[in-house]
Amino acid sequence: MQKRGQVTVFIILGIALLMFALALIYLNSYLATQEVKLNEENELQNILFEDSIKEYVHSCILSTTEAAILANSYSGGYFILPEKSTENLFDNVPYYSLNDKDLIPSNQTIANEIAKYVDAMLNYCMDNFTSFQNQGYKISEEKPQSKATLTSKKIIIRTNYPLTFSKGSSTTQLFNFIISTPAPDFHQNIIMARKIIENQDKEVICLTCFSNLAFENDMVVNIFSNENDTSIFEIENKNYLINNENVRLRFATK
Amino acid sequence: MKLNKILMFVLIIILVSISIIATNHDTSTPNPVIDQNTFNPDNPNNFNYAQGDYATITDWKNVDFDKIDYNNPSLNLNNIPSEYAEKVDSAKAILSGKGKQLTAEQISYDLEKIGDLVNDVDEAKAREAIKSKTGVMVVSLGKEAKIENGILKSKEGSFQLEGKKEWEITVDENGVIQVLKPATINEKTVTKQDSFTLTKDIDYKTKRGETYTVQQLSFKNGQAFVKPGTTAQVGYYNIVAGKEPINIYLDSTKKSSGNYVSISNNHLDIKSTTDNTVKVIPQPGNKLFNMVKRDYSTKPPKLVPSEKDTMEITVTNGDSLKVESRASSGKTPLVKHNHDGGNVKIETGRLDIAVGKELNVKLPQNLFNYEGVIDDRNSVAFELVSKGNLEDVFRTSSSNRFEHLIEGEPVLKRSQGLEVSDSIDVNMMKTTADLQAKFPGIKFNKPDIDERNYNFNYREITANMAQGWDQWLREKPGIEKYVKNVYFDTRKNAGAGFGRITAGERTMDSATRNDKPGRGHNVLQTLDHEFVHVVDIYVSDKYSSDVNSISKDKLPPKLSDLYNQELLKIGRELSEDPEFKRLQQDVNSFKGSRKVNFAKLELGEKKALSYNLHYLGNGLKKRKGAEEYGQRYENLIKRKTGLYPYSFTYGFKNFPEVSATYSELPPEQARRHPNLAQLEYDRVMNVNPPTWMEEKARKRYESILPPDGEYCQKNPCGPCILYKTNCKK
Repeated sequence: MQKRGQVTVFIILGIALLMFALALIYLNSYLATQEVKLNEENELQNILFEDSIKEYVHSCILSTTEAAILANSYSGGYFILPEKSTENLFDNVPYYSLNDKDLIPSNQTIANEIAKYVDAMLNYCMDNFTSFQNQGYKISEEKPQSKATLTSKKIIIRTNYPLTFSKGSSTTQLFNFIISTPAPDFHQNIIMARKIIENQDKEVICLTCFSNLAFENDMVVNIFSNENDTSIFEIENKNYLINNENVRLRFATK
Repeated sequence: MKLNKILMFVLIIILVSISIIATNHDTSTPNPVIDQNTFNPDNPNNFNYAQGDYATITDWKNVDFDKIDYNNPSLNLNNIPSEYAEKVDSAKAILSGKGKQLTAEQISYDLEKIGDLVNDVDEAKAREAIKSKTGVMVVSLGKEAKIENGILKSKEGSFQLEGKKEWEITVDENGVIQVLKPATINEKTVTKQDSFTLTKDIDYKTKRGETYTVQQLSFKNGQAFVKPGTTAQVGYYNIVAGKEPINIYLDSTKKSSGNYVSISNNHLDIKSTTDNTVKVIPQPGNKLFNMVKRDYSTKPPKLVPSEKDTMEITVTNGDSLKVESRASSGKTPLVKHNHDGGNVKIETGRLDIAVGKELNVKLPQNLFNYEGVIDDRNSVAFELVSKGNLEDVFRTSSSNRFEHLIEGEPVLKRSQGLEVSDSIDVNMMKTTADLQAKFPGIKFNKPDIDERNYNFNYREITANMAQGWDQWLREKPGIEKYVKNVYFDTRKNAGAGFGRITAGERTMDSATRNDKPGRGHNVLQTLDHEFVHVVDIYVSDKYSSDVNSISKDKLPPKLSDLYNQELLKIGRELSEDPEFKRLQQDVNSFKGSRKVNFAKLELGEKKALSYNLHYLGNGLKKRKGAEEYGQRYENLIKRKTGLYPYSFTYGFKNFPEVSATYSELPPEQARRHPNLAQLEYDRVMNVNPPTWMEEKARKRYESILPPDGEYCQKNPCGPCILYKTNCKK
């Protein structure tokens, strides 16, 4: 009878041990799952954060690019005016034609100038990443360096903009951003400028050589006289607005 | 033989004797003796016409004119009484070398028999003869001339004498017949036999009743033309012929040919042939092209030539041009070009247009320099179409503006933002007197000499100035309450004072529009800008009178003080902006030839602010190596403040440009500064504005601060909130 009792104790103990072992296994497994979950959440948060940063930077590059189109157009497609530019105007413009020399910038030059504008003005839009800093992120950045390509339909900006975001132990690094924005009207303005230069012989200009193109593209070409036999042209596309302002491509000829 | 000699001797003796006897008989016979050398009226037949002494003829009644020997030296045709002039045979007289003795009367009977009225007879007498016979006064017959079948013929001309009494002509050295009189010639009197030139100013009356003052207009076989290498005047046109003659038609029903110009009061056709040039220069006074101005010394005003209006049309090498008046519908003339391998050039005022296969324009130059003499020529307003395409129109104004329209839409302009109208009325605004007549409430001061010599040779405004003001003043009734005087000069500047605006010709031209910051290219904006200053000064003046009775400690703030406060607030905020500070650090680190210095506050806050915000950015933009800073600097100021850097201009202890530059901001941008919008509205409401001005101010205010917008939901909106010294709600 005593022997039977001892067996029962061992059975109970065994069951308890088994239960404990099972509990341990479950706990271990639960903790592991939780960790994975947390890690997954962290990762997701990082991904989301990275996306929002990317989106933020993208939108800033985009808006700065549009501002660049507006501002550079006013300076004949340049951010920094070339040497052969007018000097007496408040807002000077480059010569596209000077003493029979064709100085009209190529698409690549115009794209490069857009890129220069973006690099110089981008941080105005980034606003020092204030909203991200308010979320506890530490941000370090290097100077952006952009390359641009202008086609007949769009402008593509590739910006190398090293950014490092850290919060706690998590660190995210971003480098390259690419945006593309339609710019057929911008390109059309440049085509029109080329057409005007092609059809100008010193101070004589062939109006009917480009007026149909202007009409077809809803453009108005304004001509202003300036000093020293210089004429200022301003091409305005009636339907092409950026920030509620008409984009006007201005240049000089002499 | 000897006998023969004797007979011969006897015969000679007999003959000699007979002759001696005969001689003795003649001289020794005293009675009766017949003296054939002396003319005996009782026995005229005995007169020896060949050898007799014509001086002895005292009575020519019985002279047998047929027997007159014109070779007889004693014959002096001058002595023949005039009643026998008809009997003198001029031809014989001329043959015998006595042509010069012929009297005018004698010549007059034989005009057509005289081969050369200059050399065969006395020219003066010949002219006298022509005058007496035909009534035509001839000043000179040149080197040779004759009359055949009633037509005076010279080397280069012919002139039908009949029907031209009281005409005065002369034949020049080249044999050209020039008509000097009468003052008026009827087209009907010019026949197909006529080849002459109307040299002096002569009124030529066409069959249709139109009268043209002509000069140097020639006729050949009755057809009017301009000789090669000469310039003729026909009415208000000068017509210049090149190497070929130009036919002139003053009757549009006639079939035209060759190089020609066809003229009437309401049309002008010009046609050139291959390799030829036809130049037509419409003159001041030309009504087809409205090259006239109003003279208000009479009622109603009369149209007088506008000397500033210039035009020159050159048609070459086969092209042609037709000009049609559209005055009946109040429009400027329509010029239709037909291209036939050549070219048409139209120079008018400062515009230079060439149309052939394409339309070319020589871009007009601006009014150079800051002040002094200007090119004040006015252009002529017209519409030009080519190849019959009425949808493709090149339009000019009388104010040196142009635009190219396709299907009614302008695609190209040189107009300084002003209208280029096809209305005659609009384009007839050319003088201060025109402005004065249209806006009698304002005194438009005709330009005069001033001591600074701004207006050298400038005594009348250009059409561009007149039309700029006309456009700006339209629909602004009551503006004379504020703008009482308008002054003009030639400078590249505009200014405002109490009740006055001064506008420089150069300001109304496009160049100036490009070198002032923060404004568009529309000249009207210049006047808008100056008007804001006028109202500011008006408000300031009213303030002084309104606060006279208020004690100093209770004085309300001046409008300019409120503007200053607002601008200082904006400037201070910007100065404290971290981004601005960073950029300032960047700029400070610029290592160019000179260090960039920011103005220190010791200068005075307003002055320092003005330097740092208005001048520095633009200075950097133009400084080698610092251009990028300049761009960033200006961009930041615009972005952060929403104002043009020019708004921070400092002067007279104020920021005098802020009110005017703010008024030029688009509403979305202006919204950044509700207080400035409020001051803009209050300022107008303080001057008891006329309806249009109040409406404009209210609309502008509401476009910046919409009544149902966020700002007005939380803040008081409406007139007279910030400045209300004299505000009328």
